[in-house]
Amino acid sequence: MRLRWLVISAVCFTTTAWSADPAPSPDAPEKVVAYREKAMKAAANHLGLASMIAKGEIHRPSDMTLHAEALHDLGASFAALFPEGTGPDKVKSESKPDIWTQHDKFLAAAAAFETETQKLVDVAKTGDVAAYKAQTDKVGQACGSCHEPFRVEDEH
Amino acid sequence: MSCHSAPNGPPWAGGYAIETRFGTFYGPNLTPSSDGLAGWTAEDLRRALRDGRSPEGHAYWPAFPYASYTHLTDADIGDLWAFLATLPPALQADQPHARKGVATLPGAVAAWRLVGFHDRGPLPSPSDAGELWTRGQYLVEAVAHCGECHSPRSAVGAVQSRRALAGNDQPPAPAPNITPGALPWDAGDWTHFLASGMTPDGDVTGGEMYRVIRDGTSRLSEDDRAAMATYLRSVRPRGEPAASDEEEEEEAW
Repeated sequence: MRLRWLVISAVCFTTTAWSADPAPSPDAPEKVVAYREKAMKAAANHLGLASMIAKGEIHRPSDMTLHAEALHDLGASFAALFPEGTGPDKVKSESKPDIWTQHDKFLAAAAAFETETQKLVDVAKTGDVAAYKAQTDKVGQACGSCHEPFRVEDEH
Repeated sequence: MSCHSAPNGPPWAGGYAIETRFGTFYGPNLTPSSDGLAGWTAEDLRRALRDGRSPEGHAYWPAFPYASYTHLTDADIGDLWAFLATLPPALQADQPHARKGVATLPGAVAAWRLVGFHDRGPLPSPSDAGELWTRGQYLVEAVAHCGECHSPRSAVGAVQSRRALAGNDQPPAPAPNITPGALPWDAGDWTHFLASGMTPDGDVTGGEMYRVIRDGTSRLSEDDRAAMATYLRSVRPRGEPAASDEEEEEEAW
């Protein structure tokens, strides 16, 4: 009996967690946009630092995991940083409306970033700089494959 | 590939829309089908790329960047022809261009050719240019045709050579200034960007440039990317458009 309840609650929990519709946010849209832009910038900084190590411009092998984990942890919240009501129709943002009209595609792109950054974490722990470089390129491609359909490119 | 493949259509079968201030131009079908290049000869392709004319002799609109492709070598055009013949034929009729503004006027193409298409054939090469620089010049100016999007154009659409590669805020996409005046990137920054789309500050380009990297520069050899870097770092630095334009000399190199 107890087990049955456990299974039912597990199923309910999973269903809730998996429902794809972005919930509206209680926060001011401007603040959500400001936060996610800073989060993206933080990810860019970590990727830039990881690349310097990967390219051999600086010898900081002990930082490889730090940047990989930061990218992965930041990436885990990316999808949640785009709640309904924070698109360009409501607030000044470089986000394209397709984020919400093609939400499944957007979630898949966000998930791809998590996958590639998890691989970067795994590679970082081996200390193999060449493999780390190859994987930072993969992470970069994951960024680009989401920016391409979903971000308005600024001129500078 | 980017300009000849619609987002959800068969590759190389055309239909990609290039929005410009002269209207919307659609890339044609390049596959060897009756809607594409079936019936073309190698010479037809050479003429299209080198002279910007169709097999019937009419002039193409400059959305087809033949002002750059004119510099392609016969050997590369031959290779391109051999490659196009290997594509699976796709039946997809070409979409007519939707021209606007000056492009609707009679003689618009002829006018553009007069001002925007005069340097044909092999690129000029300074006698002291090294092999890497010359290769880079060829890749940037002919093959990758960077200047077609990254240079400002005049009212009739001619690339303004004095501000070549200094950026263009017009559609299809705002393309930034990529001269050393705006991008003080070292060779490693360039090759990494052309391979991955990642800028030195860790941002990753999206938009049109993402596709240029995905379908183009990421598939080049590392030597070719290094050659492009050498050339791009050597072009005359240009500041922002407001800078004293008049004082600058003719030509970027």
